[in-house]
Amino acid sequence: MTRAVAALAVTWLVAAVAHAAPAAATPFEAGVRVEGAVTVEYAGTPAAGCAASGLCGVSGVALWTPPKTALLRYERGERHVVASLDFFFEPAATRAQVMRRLPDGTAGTCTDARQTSVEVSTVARGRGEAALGLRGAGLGRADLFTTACTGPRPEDLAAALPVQRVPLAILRRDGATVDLRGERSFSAGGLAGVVRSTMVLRVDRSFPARDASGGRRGDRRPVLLATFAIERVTGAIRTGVRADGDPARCGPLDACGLAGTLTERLPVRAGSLRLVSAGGSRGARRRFRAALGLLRPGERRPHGPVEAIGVGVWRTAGGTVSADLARPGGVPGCRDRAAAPAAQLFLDVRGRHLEASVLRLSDLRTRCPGPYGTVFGTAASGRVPLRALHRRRIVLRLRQTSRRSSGGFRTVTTPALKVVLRRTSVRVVRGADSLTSPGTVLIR
Amino acid sequence: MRRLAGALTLLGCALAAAPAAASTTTELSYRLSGKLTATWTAGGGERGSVSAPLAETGDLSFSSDGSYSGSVGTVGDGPASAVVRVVRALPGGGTAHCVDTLGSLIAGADFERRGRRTLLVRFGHEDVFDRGSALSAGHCAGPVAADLDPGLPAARLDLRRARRRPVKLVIRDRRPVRAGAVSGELARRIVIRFGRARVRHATRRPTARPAQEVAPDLQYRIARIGGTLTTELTGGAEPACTLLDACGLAGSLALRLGKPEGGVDLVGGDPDSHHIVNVTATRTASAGRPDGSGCTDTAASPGRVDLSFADTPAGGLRVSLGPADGPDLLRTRCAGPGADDLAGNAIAAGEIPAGRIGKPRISVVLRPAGGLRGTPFTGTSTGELTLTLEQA
Repeated sequence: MTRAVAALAVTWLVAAVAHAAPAAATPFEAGVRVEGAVTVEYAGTPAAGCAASGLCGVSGVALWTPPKTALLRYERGERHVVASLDFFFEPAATRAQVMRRLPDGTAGTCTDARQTSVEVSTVARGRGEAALGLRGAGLGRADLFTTACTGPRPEDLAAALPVQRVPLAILRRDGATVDLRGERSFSAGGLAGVVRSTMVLRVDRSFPARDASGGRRGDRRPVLLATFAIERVTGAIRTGVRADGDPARCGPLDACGLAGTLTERLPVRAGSLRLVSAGGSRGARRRFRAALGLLRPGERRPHGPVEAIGVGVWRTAGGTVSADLARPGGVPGCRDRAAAPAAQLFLDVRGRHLEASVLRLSDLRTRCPGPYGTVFGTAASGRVPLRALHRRRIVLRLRQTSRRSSGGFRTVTTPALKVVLRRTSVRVVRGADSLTSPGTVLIR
Repeated sequence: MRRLAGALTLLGCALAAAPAAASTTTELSYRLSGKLTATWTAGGGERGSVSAPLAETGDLSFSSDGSYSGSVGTVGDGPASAVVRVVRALPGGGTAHCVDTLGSLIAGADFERRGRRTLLVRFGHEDVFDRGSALSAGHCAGPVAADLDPGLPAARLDLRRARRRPVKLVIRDRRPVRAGAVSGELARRIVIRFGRARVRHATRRPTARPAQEVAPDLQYRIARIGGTLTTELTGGAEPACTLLDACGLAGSLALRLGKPEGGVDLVGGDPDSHHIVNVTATRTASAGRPDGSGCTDTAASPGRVDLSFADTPAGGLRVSLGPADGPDLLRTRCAGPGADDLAGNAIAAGEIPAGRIGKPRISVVLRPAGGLRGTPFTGTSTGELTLTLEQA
């Protein structure tokens, strides 16, 4: 699921850039042999603001070991070259060890590890060079170092990760050796440290990418498309976090007794949502039109279930997630604020209801310790009667509570989101592509 | 998963040979979940654990003629990675930690029809990527995969009951683990939920016999792989070494391969061909740290190597021997490198001159390819392996 969503998101990112540069050329592909690894060494420092976040006394190291092979894809647009390094084909590993100095002079240790299958997408200005490395941007930024232990966020490390510009002519003619070795420091959110890379990419000669569609044309059947403006998203999603009470589970994460709340706010500035009838038949379109309350005078109400799905994207004025975690016995906890994970709004017509859900595209994490690998996916959901579609303005209240337990933590997510949609148009278009065409850009 | 794939192949063969007949097919889906947890103490006083969530979904189909097929679904919303954690008490006080990940495991399952009413289900576990990381201590000190695979637990499914309602089977057991200086326990909790079985009646048409395969030109049997490769290894530099408790670690790792089972086709196959060969891999590790802690271990277990051949400009064949799917060929019960630390994914390589191809017996010397170039484990290898091929 995460991989599929991430792939969709990256596709949209690439599509968005391609939209800005309509005369995009053929995409190219090349195999890449990967050597080396990247470490991040960090500690809570007063200069970085550790006192405010409770991270003074924390020190850690995280190691990302890439797979031995990767796939490079790049595409030249009018003003950009979009490149992606796909590390999906073999497993890569992230390991972390974080020490926390306790008031009695002893130390707590968190150790955690996970497999990381990631894709890093970069956009280089100009037409002649691709940016190859780990310094992705936006949704192309990969989360290489996050575990359940205290640690920096991907945005903290972005500028310190290695990247090199390589002329496209060299990639096409001979391939290239891209030296990503080096070290850079970073400081953010109470933590400061250094990123060290020993990575070297040996890129084979690149060739035009094969058409993934195999020459097939997409579904061109007519569908009914209703477009909505996302006028407002207000409220918050609160996720209660509690470390597992079993010392065998919470102990290795140095999390026993840790409990608190993660509060996610998504102040949406603008957005749009496309709701499309499923199936290209005339009957399917007519049933959807009836659900929208748009039957013509005298037109008979059709029988059968209405099927429609929708995806909404939005821009926020800086979505945030705030952590406020406490430890027992008066031991300092952790407070932090970080960028909220990118999210999308999904609509699904089920029976006589319109179901809405906000889907996180990555984990809900801050620099504090907390669950990882489980707090993605549906963050908020709710439903309204289908007849709500008759009105031009729809108010969705997403309040469905969900519980999860995995990876040493238990979470209870309690959303209180109000989403206001305003229907702007209804028209017949050809092809299901109308759901995902790059007229809207997914940005956090 | 490989077993199911094999079953699919067998089914294909069975169908190809079967005459036209009316058949009854029983179809059922299944979802497998659970957890494997191992805890242990190792010779250097290390205390370790690994916990691996399991996830698999799939469909089974049984025909009245006894054949069956299976398909494994996608992992999709996969579970968290399997995490290895090992703690070692330091001589001067404090602790050193090793943390590693094995990735998500999925359960492999064998299904066997027992009479008309019973389906015998046996469970194992294999890595999603099917690459040498079945449950083990990973790069940390502790059991190797063979130590934690004490046979497949089994359960019986009453098919008549499954036709009436969904059925849930639970297997829960604990087994002691004793191997080398490692002692501990493996706890397994495996839950498999079968959807309601559906029965379909169909007349199957005979399918055309598959085309006869063209006889290969030069079939060889792998008669022997002799010799030993020895790698002098180090635990690498800080800070990466701290994550695997490898700082200051130095020692050696010797690898011998025996009892090869398999053959190669030097001409009839793809010129850049890969052959998977079953072997017995014997690894002997000896390593120590500056604080006086150390470890020696010998682990011998079945494994698989990938023997690949590629044309050389002079008309000969370049032979490369590397790790294949399955248990890690380099891991011992000491903390140390694994096959993923090999440079270029090759253990050893050599060349068969053009003039030797076609001879009844070919011996080729394989020398260390690139040694270890992992993070943090690095090392250089010496010695040689002698691969002996005999024309079949």
